Amino acid sequence: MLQYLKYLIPFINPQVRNWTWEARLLNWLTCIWLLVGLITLISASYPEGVIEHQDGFYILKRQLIGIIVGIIAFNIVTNKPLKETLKISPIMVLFLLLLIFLTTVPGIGKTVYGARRWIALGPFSLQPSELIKPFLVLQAAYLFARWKNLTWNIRGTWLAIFSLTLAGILIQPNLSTTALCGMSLWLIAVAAELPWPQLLSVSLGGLSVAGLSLWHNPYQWDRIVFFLEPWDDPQGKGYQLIQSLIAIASGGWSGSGLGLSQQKLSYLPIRSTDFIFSVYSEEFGFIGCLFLLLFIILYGTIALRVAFKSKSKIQRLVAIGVMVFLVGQSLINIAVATGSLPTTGLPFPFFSYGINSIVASLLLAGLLIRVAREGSKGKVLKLKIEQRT
Amino acid sequence: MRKIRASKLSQKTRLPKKPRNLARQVTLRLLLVWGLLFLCATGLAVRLYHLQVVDPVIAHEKAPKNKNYKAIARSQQTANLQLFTPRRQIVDRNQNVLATDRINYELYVHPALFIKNAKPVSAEEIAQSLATILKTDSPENLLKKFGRPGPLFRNLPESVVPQIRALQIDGLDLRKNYSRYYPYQDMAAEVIGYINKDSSREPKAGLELTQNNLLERPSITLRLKRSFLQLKGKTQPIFHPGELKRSQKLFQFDDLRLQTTLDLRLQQSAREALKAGMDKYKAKRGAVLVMDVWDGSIPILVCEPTYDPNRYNEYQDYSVFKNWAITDLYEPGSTFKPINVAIALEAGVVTPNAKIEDTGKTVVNTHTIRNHDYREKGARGKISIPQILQYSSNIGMINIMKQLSRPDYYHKLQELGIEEPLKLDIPGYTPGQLRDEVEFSVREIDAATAAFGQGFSLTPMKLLQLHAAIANGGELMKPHLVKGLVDFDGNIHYEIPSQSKKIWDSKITQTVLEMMETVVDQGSGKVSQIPGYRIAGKTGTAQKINQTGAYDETAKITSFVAIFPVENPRYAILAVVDEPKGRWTFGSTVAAPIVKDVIETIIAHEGIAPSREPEKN
Repeated sequence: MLQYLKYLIPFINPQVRNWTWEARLLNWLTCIWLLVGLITLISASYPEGVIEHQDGFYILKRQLIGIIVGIIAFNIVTNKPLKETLKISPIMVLFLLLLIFLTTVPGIGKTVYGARRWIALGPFSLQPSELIKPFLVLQAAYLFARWKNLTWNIRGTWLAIFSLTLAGILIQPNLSTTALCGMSLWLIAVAAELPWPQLLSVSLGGLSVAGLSLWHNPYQWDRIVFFLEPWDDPQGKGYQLIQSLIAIASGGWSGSGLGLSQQKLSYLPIRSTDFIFSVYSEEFGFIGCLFLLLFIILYGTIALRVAFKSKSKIQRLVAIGVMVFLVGQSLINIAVATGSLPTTGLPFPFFSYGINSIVASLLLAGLLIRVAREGSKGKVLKLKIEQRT
Repeated sequence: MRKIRASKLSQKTRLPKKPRNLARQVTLRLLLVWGLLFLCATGLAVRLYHLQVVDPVIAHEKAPKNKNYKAIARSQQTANLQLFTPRRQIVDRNQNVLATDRINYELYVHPALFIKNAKPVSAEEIAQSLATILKTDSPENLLKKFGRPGPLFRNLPESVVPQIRALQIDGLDLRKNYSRYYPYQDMAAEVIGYINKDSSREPKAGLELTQNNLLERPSITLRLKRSFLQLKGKTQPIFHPGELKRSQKLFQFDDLRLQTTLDLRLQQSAREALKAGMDKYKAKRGAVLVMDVWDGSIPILVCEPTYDPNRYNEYQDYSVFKNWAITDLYEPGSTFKPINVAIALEAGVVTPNAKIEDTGKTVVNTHTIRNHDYREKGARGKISIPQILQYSSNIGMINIMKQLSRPDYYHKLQELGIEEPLKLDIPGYTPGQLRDEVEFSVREIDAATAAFGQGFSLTPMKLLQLHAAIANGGELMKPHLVKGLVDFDGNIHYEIPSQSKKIWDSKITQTVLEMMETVVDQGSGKVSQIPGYRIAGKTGTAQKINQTGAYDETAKITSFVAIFPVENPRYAILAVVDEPKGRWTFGSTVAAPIVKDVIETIIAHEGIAPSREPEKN
């Protein structure tokens, strides 16, 4: 019984002191990221909760459920050798791919904001496009690490599965997640030293497919480039972005202070998920935003260090994959909120409300920490000693 | 080339921390991915600096002009609430409310929309129910009025509102308004004035006009944080008053009221007395003025005819709006004689005990001047100055004033300030008119007529002020109607200082006062005697100048001025009645009884003790 308890204790597992310093540091940085995100979420979601659910902590409570599930998953992943986790990843990718296609089936998929991304599961809902992220990292690492040793049959099969995944997410429609997954897969491939001609041809192919789709549906293009001039339709298409920009600009140097955002009261839509960064930047100002960016870059840099130190190519690619997903997704979210990228719904890891998102993010962080633990030969020896006892 | 490459490779292998098996290609690829993210983060930091710190003005035709995001945030997150600030009340000196703001309602009807419980209702039925509630019009009458544009009724009291709402009929629209209400209607209209009924609330007359800056409270604007709430499909604003700045107090207005010197009870009695007197003689108009001789305050100012300021818009005759006791000039006639006596005594040209020849009739510059009672009495011979006043002898007065050189006399009149504007706190004062100085000095007739109060003109208010100076020992007090701002407990918060100018020696005014007392005791002012009280007075019956510039034989202006009580003068009282009809219309018969009524009221209200035992007949 006691041996299972460690899965429930977040971050302060007694084994931690035996980890490599990168693993320990990442462990604590993840903890800080999670806590800061949670505090921001309380602030951002309280008025919304009061108005819509007569309970200011409604969203926090649901998020805590996600965090509990996520921490169990996190602890499992950090304590399980990466090799064993890799074994289940193809099955998980295929299973979640199936679920992604199920979301598009009427009656099973749940429609929110005009997109079928969810499968209703009682009071909760499953978002396979979020949960697939860690397994995509694993599978892509596995595939690209052994790329040279694989036949084109296997390469082609897995590339097809990846393409199907992207297509499945795209038709939900969920353009932003598709783009994020596509870019991340490509960057993992770049890190895997795949030859540039192959990389470039794939990226050109992807871009031309996207171009073709846009050329076919010009209204999509309008929607995508609207972020460049939100003031063309301040009450309609530009409303969300303008409100987000107003929130961010209101922050000034030092912000209005925790809990004192005005924009979150009613003006800013979807403030506890996609635009949570706007609330953060209104409350903490430019200084707070700079700290957050530095923090994210620090996290990414340590992930890079883990990648450098890792023994095998698979481990290296997992570390890079996690970095691309967590850091890249954060940066894209900030870019959307600041009007630097098209307005698309992508959650901010550890900040945005979303049980699936928080579980996926904790799984990704867990993978990175696992890689960090396995990075040093000496530490792995210790691990073995531990396992004996 | 090879050498260089080799050296690079060797450098790489020498790096201490790098794992042995990591190829240069791998390092580059990893750094490329990391660098890409780092660049994005740097770009975002620049973007955030631009948004949060630089925050430039947005240049877009649909964006608010010349505003940056912070300014847009301010304007959308805050709302200015303009609260209605009631105009200050006006109270009399006993805190009776003469003017106040109150809530009333306008009723609009839209017969096309008459619906009750989703069913149309006939206009007849609604007219019937409205008639029973309002009790002002018959149902048929109301039905006719339904078609007219604009509100069906204005100034509906709050009491009928719940009854009309209880009908639950669509198409009956009640709108809340604030209006100025004058509870005593016409009782003090000549002083209070009125403000426009429309939303401008522009002050138009009286104290409302001149004291506007004291009556208007500073308007309260609240800058409140605001957000919105979607309730039942409607967007409703939510205000956050808890976030008000400390400087913005919600109820920063005071309970101050503008206090006038008027005494409503005295004003009411004086008006009744004046109206009764005017009715008796079918007079055109009349005025009663009372001044407190010690501070210049005016407890009574009654002008007839007057108007009800609640219904100012219903009057066709605009002359009711003017307070003629201060706006219109008249020739004071005999009521000016005590003033002339004071001038002569002050100049030292006669002594109080002098005997003056009264020939009853004289010719000045071809004009024949007679005493008013020349036909009955003829020449009186040598008489004393008090007798001149008692009989109101014109010839006696001419002979007194003759002693004074005409330029000196003119300058004395000027010193009284007849031609100067009197800065009253109600609008419309007209300065009096004297003859041209050169004409007055050269022609004897001008000085002669001035001796008995004709040939120049002034307002009743100015004449009262001069008599008040006789009463108070020679101080020319500035009359005033505003006491200042007082709170609900009657404590004064802002007082208008009184002003005065010494014009006569107190010994001389005492002498004149006693002479005037004999007028009431033995002379033409007998009518105003009140047993036990010492009253000084002087009658006046002046001919009016008609439109051709000549004296009108039939149109007279009768007046009576009194000072009371003589032993310690407190009040100067003037009653003027214009164009009384009938044979026996003199100051002594028309105006003196009115003054007597007013004095009796003052005695009763102020509790003034008699100065001597009433004589028993």
